[in-house]
Amino acid sequence: MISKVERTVNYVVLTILAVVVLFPVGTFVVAALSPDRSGKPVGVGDFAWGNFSTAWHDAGFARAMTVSMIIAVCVVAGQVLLALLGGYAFGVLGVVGDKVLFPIVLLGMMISLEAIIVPLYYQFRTFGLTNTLPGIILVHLGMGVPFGIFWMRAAFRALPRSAFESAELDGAGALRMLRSMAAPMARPAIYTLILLSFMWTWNDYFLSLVFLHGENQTATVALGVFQGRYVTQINLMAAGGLIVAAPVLVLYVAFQRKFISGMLAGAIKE
Amino acid sequence: MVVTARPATPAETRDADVRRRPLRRRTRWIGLGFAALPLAVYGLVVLVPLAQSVQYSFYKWDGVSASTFVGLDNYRSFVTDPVLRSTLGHVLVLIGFFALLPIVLGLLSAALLTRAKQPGMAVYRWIFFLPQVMTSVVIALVFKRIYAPDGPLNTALRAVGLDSLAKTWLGDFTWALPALGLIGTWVTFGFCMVLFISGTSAIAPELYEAARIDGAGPVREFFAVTLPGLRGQLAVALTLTITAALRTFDLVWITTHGGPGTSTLTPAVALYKAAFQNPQVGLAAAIGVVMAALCLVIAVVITRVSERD
Amino acid sequence: MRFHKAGVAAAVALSLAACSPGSGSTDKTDAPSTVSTDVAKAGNVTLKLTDFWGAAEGEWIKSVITGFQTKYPNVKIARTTEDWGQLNSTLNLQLQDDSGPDIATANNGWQSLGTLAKGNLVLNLDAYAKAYGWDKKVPTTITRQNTFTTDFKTMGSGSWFSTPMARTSLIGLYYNADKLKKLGINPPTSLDELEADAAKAKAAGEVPFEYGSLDGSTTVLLGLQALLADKKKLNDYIYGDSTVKATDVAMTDAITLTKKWADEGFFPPKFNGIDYQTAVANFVGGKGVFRWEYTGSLGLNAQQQGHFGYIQLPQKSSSGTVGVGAAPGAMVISAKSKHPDVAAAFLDYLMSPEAGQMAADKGLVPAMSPDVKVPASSLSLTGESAGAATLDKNDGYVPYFDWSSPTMLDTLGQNLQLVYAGKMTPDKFTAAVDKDRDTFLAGQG
Repeated sequence: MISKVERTVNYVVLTILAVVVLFPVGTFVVAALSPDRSGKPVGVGDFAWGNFSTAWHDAGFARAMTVSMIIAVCVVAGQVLLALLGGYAFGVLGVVGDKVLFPIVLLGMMISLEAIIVPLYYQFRTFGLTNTLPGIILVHLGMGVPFGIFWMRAAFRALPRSAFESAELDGAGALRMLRSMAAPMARPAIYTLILLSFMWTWNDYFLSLVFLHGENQTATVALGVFQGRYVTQINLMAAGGLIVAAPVLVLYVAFQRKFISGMLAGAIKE
Repeated sequence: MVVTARPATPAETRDADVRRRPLRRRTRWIGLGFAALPLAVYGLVVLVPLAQSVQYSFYKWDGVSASTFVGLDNYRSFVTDPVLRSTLGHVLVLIGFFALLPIVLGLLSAALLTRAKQPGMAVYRWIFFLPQVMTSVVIALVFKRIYAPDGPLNTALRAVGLDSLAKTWLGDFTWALPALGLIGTWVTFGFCMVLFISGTSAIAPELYEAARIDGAGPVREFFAVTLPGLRGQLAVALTLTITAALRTFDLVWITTHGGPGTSTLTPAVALYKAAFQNPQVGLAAAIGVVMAALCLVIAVVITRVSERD
Repeated sequence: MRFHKAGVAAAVALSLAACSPGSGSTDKTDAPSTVSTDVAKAGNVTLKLTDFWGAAEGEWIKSVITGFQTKYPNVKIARTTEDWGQLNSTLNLQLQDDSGPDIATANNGWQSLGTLAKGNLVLNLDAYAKAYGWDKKVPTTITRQNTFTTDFKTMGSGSWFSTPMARTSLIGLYYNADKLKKLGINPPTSLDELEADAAKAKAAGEVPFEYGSLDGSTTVLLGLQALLADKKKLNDYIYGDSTVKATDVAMTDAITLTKKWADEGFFPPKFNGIDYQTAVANFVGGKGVFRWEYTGSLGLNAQQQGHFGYIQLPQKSSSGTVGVGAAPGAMVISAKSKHPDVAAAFLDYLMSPEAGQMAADKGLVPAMSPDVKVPASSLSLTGESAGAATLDKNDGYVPYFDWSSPTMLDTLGQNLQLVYAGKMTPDKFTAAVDKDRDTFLAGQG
């Protein structure tokens, strides 16, 4: 279908890009295997594989990863539910006052957390929700609503109109239409939302830093033990960083097919 | 949603049955019922604190003891302080690297990846998205090493005889900001690519066939068919990346702390310093409010432009 | 409809605005008037301690806790550790929580301790200072670091709001002993000797001072300033005496000398692209002959401690020894603590010679412990504790310069980079320092 020359050019350009992308990742992996505190690269024979178990123990990842996992799973579940409701309302049913409400929702995608963290903390303290998992889950959910609505609204709007009309003629209510038709049809977009939501929650640093202490620290914050006031152990930090990145990478590999097909289905077609 | 009268292109005709009109008036109240729960959570976590932030921005407050009402003083110092004002200029540069460059690269890679079914494309797709998956703390540390005076980048430049180009990237008053920006490009372009791949696959194949029958090469095909078909995705990508540029915090914080001098200070870093390092919560809130307002304007403009069909 | 909603939103916002931020926390907590030093009487008590100590420092606090619990079996101390940045930025929030810590490590200066004291989040410790005799035990220059006047306009006098400990963190000069031997140089005993040695090292092809300015490291500048400035004036400047100006505390001399060293090539090539961590790693890895550094920051292991020495140089005017130094943390008691008496006893224990000996045993610099025994095999620790002992004896501490205003650390770091790049003159640098502090003082009212 396309010429051999073009095909070769494609590969060359893509490979150059891939090398540029992978090079920093490679540097990082090498740093994680360095026996030196500063993460200086060493030969293959000197690789310090023990860094991973040292990092695992020093940062208390067994506990921290459990906390992170609980938060991420709850947030993903809640996020999908809220996004389905909100996306369906804004995308299919229409919402009273949506000309005002929708931009307000969009605004949330752009507010930086730093801008609201102080009042947010005081507010949650009055609810007694600081340093609790339900508290931080609620914050994640609230911060995630804008993207969730935005994303599922676009996904629902991309579904053929005729399906909704015939279902309505059959007398299906709004909720039944969402449950039995719209949600299943938008499945690829939902998979994508799950992946993104998991990734963002898992990688969160700042929110956990402010809201969670002691036993409740998450994996990303636990990485901080390698960064003292003066001394940073870059090799252990890198090893720990790889451990923290592992669940997201696994999920990404597992979901890739569905994820891409979610994108391919035109989920975010405006 | 402004409807202009002009002949429909094939893409729009195809779009027509996808176009959404509200089912009926009454569903809009049911819709509000559906949206109530997400909106309530959102309001509680984002809007109420945001309103309080607006309120804080009129006070001089250390975050702990009693506050003094100072009117617009915090906003005034944001506008008059040359250092704080310069952060907006830095953001403009960063937008080039966080938004424009990734979009160009994303378009390029998406075009290459979707043009034909070649083996190995899934691998490339996976690689390009990889930076998105990594924690920002980790990314910042990696690049700090790469940009070091005797780091891999300078070593590579010297190896190919470009000694004169080797420099202390993050410590250089001219180069620190672009060097930071390139980190953003590296992170963001995979995300743009995935958006564009999705958009490209939603473009009707007939359009490509028609273009090929007209004898269009890959370049002309891209400009005549692919690019116009990606308008929606471009809007999404622009909105997300521009606001990401405006919000840049972790990368700067971990690599340069805003230096050398104040040459890489961003509003978010200034905000963080004010809120958590120097107890000036009011000033921090004012910076946050200005940032939020800018973001809203950008989003509204982009949405307006892109939804005009 | 829409407008109606907007109206409601505006009304909500206005009603929120009716109560100004922070107005809920102005209730005054006075210094406890009746205090007890009898810990055994307190019954079974559990205290929560939150600190930012890891590695050797973490080991130290663990052994101090064990020591205290052995002494008072009725007390249990539950320790949480957080990284320095996290604790630093969230301590004021944590102390407002009912479930927050009883005892915590704060940072001295306005930015952390001052804000906590002013917000009544930490106890005024005067009654305990009297009961335990801290005023006699602690050198005056260290005491001042923990005090604020009760109107919170002045730091460095007034009431105790935190305590130091039997440890210290100094800025001083480290040297690579092997390199000195190879170059045939004896450890310098004065600033002039140091400059001569640096020139000799440079001529021999070595980097005299390992250093990097990428993140605005100020150790060279502040280390030199302590050798050049008048002790009392420097203390007064930092504690906010507006009649003292930066030129009076040798700021211009210090920055000029620092810049001169940079221009003479005493720092590594391209030092503006080297970050702090890399510079530390380079020095420990054998690059450079000298390094200005905070004690405890090199992270030397037992074997390395035999190869690196430490010197607390005397003042250039040879009027005794003055050094930048403070306890590595300001211990505070939460205003919400239910057992302040027990907490104060623990703070007192942290200042005891026992705690100092435990520090030396872990390779940390002991202070206020004249009879401490340091392993002779550790060249660096021997030098460090000798330095601390000299400063204790001379009462020669000056606080970190960045305590003078919350933004001072940024101001120093940013402008230092400008000076190195030739974009700012030393005079302008000094003026910028004054402007930063005086703006802050003016805002204090």
